[in-house]
Amino acid sequence: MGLLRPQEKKLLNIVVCMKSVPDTTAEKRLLPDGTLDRAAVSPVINPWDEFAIEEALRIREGGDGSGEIVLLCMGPENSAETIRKGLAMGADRAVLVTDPALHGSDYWATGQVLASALKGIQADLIMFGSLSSDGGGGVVYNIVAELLGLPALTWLTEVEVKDGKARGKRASDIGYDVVEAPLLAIVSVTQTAHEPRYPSLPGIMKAKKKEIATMTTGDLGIDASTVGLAGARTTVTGSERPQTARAKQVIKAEDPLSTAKAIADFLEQRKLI
Amino acid sequence: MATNNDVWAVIETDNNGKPKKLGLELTSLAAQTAREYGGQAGAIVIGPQEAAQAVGQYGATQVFYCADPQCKSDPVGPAAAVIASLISQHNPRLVLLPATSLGRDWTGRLVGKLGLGVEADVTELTVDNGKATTVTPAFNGALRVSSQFTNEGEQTGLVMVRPGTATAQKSEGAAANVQEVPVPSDAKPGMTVMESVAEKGGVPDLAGAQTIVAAGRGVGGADNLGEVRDLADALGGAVAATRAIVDMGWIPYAYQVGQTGKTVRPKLYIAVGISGEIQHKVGMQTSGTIIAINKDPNAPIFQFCDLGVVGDLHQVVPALTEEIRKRRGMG
Ligand SMILES: Cc1cc2nc3c(=O)[nH]c(=O)nc-3n(C[C@H](O)[C@H](O)[C@H](O)COP(=O)(O)OP(=O)(O)OC[C@H]3O[C@@H](n4cnc5c(N)ncnc54)[C@H](O)[C@@H]3O)c2cc1C
Ligand SMILES: Nc1ncnc2c1ncn2[C@@H]1O[C@H](COP(=O)(O)O)[C@@H](O)[C@H]1O
Repeated sequence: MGLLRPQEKKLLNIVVCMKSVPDTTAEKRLLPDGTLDRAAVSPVINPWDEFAIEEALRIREGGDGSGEIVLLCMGPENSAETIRKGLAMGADRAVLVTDPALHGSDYWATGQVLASALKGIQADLIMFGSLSSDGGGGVVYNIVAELLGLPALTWLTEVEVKDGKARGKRASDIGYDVVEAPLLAIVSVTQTAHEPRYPSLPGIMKAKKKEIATMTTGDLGIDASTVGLAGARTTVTGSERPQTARAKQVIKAEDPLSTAKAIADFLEQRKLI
Repeated sequence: MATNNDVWAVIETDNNGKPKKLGLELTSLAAQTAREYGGQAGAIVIGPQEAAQAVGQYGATQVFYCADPQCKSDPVGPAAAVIASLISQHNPRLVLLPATSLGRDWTGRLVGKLGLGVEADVTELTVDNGKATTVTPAFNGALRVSSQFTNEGEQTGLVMVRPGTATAQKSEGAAANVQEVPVPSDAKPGMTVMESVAEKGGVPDLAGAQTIVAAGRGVGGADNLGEVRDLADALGGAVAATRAIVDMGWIPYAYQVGQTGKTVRPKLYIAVGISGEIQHKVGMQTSGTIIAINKDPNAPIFQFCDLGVVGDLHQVVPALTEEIRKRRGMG
């Protein structure tokens, strides 16, 4: 397999897979082919992936500060805008896989593309967010893990790298599990205690000169007919805005007791108590 | 390889080896869906034999289970190999998986192994003219998207189903055939659990909760969360939170509802001292009934609630708790 491990163990190279997603606050609509009209909304880094970038930067800062952090993104050309933000946060360079043939790719195709691209990048740790905010299923990192034959620590609320191992906390039904895997490993994080940093002005200036290498399916040796809408195993047959006809009945709380009675009456009417 | 007409459910078990409620819902949904196809319902239980027998009462005719301790020390790798090998041997038409973190982990592994298609976060599953249609609240509930598998019948389709999509119903039929299956020798490692730690206050089950009382910054401090907890207790519901109060350390992340927290769909959601910013809204807007208590009449939450109460939560919440206790005869 082409994943290259550095010989010098102190050097920890990290790849962060980040998706460029439409801003949550934007109105979304689907194109006639059932895919999201991505051109109509400004893209942002998937919020979950911002935490992955932040944790990658902290892992490097907690070590000897060496090693490379590479962002990997599959998406339309305008993903470069959001990648720049990740570079401004402190990542060193980026790989953007962009190809019209990838439009409408399903999870399997996304996994294939990311796994193929990862084979060409030197890494000890491959980080992901745990969910993409634009209709993600939280499945891509395990597809990649399976294709590359790697362990995966997923849904981590805390992550550290020590003695050639990745380790972290994963929420359980009773609290949390401490989970571990030897490097080279895949890690996906949730929101962590570390608010993703804002790019500094020098960071933004430096990011302008950092490399974003673009690749196509051809460069990765992927047959374009197996990915994108053409290869997708699922197809959208319709979409509608949900009926959110809320009653929006507003009352002013005058005295607590009669307010409480009014709320309780409302609950009884709706058979909720 | 063409599929048959069977529909399967994959079931997680809890710490006591009992099948999780969502798993029972999936089993009943599998039974109902298999009937439409004229096939049989099956189930795969990752857990002990007793759990498999319990699942058998919810409409599955065939229940496979894997009780191998490997599935505990590594919750992902061995179980995914078990499920993949059963799918390859039997070719069911659809496999329903829980839309939980572990269910998503298994699903990813299955896609990597078998190249299957996935419908994620499904809240409705119907069969028309022999073809399954799923509905997913996409973009955090901003749209309802229906989709189908392009190759249904030729390749097994994976459907990740959210809690509350179906009701778990015991069936009258004959007892299920229960069969143990081993972890295949080609199972790949996922992760190793070094230690399981119990959190003192327990962990909320927000995804499965019917009633949620959620607290925001307006509550005013960690010490005041008791008011919210009392109301939740009186209603038999769970407590949840906004990111604002998670960030302030008033409550753990496990309680957070919203874009980078949990997505919930209870019958009743009471938002206490919550402004209703979009990142919170996307995690709870598909709830049944939404009640908001906020002192600011211009708070955005009043734009998407069923009942809005403009007032001081410190007055309203304790009075409401009292009133509910009274009406529910909790003295
Ligand atoms: C990338 C990203 C992801 C995010 N993810 C999430 C997420 O997952 N979940 C989430 O919740 N947020 C999330 N947020 C944050 C979100 O934008 C809001 O900041 C947050 O939801 C606000 O929380 P709040 O309503 O508790 O606080 P505020 O917005 O501060 O609202 C407090 C409310 O309490 C009311 N109030 C004050 N005192 C009283 C009183 N005595 N009685 C009655 N009412 C009172 C006020 O009028 C106010 O409306 C995210 C933000 C970003 C940028
Ligand atoms: N197109 C993509 N490019 C790069 N990373 C991605 C892409 N899609 C998904 N990911 C990664 O996989 C994670 C889970 O995505 P998903 O399975 O779509 O919910 C995200 O948080 C990203 O880290």
